[in-house]
Amino acid sequence: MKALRWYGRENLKVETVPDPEIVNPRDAIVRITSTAICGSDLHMYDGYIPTMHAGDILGHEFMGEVVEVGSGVANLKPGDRVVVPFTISCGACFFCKNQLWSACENTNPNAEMAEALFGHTTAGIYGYSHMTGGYAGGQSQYARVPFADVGPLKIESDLTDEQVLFLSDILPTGYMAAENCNIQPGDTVAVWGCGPVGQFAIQSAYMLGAERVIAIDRFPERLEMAGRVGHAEPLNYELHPDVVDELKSRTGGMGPDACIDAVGSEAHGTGMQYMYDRAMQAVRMESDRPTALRQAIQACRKGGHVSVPGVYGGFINMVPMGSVVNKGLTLKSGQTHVQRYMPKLLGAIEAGEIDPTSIVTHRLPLDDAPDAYRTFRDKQEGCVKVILNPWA
Amino acid sequence: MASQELGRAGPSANGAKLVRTASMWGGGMLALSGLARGGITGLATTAAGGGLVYAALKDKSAGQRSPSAATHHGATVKEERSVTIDKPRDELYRYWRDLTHLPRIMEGIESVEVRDQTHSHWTMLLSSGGRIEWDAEVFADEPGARIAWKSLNGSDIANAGTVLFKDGPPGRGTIVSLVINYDPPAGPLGKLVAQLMPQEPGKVAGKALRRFKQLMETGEIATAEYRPGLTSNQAQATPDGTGTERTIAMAGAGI
Repeated sequence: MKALRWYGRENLKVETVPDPEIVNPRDAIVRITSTAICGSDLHMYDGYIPTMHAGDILGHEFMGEVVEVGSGVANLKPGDRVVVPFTISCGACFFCKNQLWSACENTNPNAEMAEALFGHTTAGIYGYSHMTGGYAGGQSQYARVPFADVGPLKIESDLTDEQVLFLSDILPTGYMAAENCNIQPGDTVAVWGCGPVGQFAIQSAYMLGAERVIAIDRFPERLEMAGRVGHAEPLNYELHPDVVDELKSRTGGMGPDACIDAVGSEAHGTGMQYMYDRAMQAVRMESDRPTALRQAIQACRKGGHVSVPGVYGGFINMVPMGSVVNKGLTLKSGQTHVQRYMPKLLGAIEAGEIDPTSIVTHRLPLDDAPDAYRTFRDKQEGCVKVILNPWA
Repeated sequence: MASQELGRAGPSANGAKLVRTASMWGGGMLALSGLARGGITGLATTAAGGGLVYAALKDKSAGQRSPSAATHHGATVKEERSVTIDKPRDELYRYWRDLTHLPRIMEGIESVEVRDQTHSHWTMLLSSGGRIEWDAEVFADEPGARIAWKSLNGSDIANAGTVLFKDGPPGRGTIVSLVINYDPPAGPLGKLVAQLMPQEPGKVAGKALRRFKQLMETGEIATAEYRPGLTSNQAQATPDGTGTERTIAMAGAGI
């Protein structure tokens, strides 16, 4: 099969490798019909995620058709159309039973690597370094899907791939980010980052009853999309460099009731603090750049919620913990518990409450993936979201 | 002979922890003072401090999991690990009590042949490809609660293990604790064994419990292999256009 493989920083190749096969009884093999590039894939492209090995197959947002199931999979059969959640979860451990699917204890074969860095392990994740399992990813023609009896969501209606593909990650991720804000009637929510997750966080915030959403970015086309599709109010931080002050002035001095950092570890910023973060990263005193997180904490109203769907991998400096304590903020985060949200969000798509296709800007063959990563990373051609066809 | 009771991290492990903590603090302070001073010297100090913090963090798991390297030669290596498994005590005990199951759980153990109710013969595969073997005896067996075994005289490597099963808080399954001890013999053989052991013993115990939990809770052991015996980074690329079995079959079927 064809697969996109990682060979180092900015070094990806589409190669032909042996096809996947059933390994364990609860596996399925899926013929992938659509697969996407996630913002978090860029952290590997840029070389920020440790424990990558040359030849790893990338990709964790994919869907397709079941072509084979193991002896332990009774709920799927060849021909079924499924969306595969990026979190590989067993469904049987304490965490899965409590709907904390991304904290599954039983699916990371390299749990000790994650324990050394995080204290505990996460669930296994497709194509996302060996610290989260070293599983082959889904930017390929086929994938082995472990624990297929509890993960994949069957699509039985005639919705298109584009309508349902993002149930695998970014739509639930944006939704969970908004849910973590405990939105009440009248609330104003500020969202840092108008990439795919930010766009869905904006739409989800309104679905959950927000009065007003303010979207923060510097790319006009992304701010325009946030306004046109998500009905958010734009805040371009290149026009308003003091984001905290601007947010306070737009909210009568209160600050937003909830703040969502949909940027994460590779934040762009301005001024001295941004230069500090670049320098700290260069000398390995800091693995991530928390520009958006600092602003979100400073801007949030007293007693408000700061929600962090943006990915951080390690250690950050100069986070205003004093602000968290003295303003009594609630800080919530997590890799998305995808399985918890898939059925509900499929219902929302079917009911027309949310249209995931609205963020797709690029549709390309898998062969073009190496260039597509660069286009997406550099935000060229107005790129917001890339869908790849492995068979084109 | 190794202790028959649950072990604790010895003084050497505590020492390693102290050194690590001191190194982290020292690194952090160096880094902070470097920042405060600024300039080229400051940046260099910051970098040195950063290196120390990273080294300490990198070392952390090794420090927590195994006593200092000195104990590999001569002194008993002893490590305890615990895990919570969402299954009843009796079920977990019964699986472990059939020692022939242990090769599935314990990395490096190639086989356990059960000779009678208490006696068994163990074979361990070393990372060099060689093998060591020993006879073992179950010397304590409390159904649903505890199994303890030890190697018999004449073993290449004196070793012992204890597994304990205790009820967790209500609704939280069973807390399983595993202690593995071994006494590498002094001299060249001991060095050889220490070098050839597949892993640190603490890691063996931790991994064994994790695999036991996976097997008991999910019915299988998680693996990143995407086809039997192969992870994606190990796969050899074939020249473009040749395709592979499934791809060719589908093309042949006109799909």
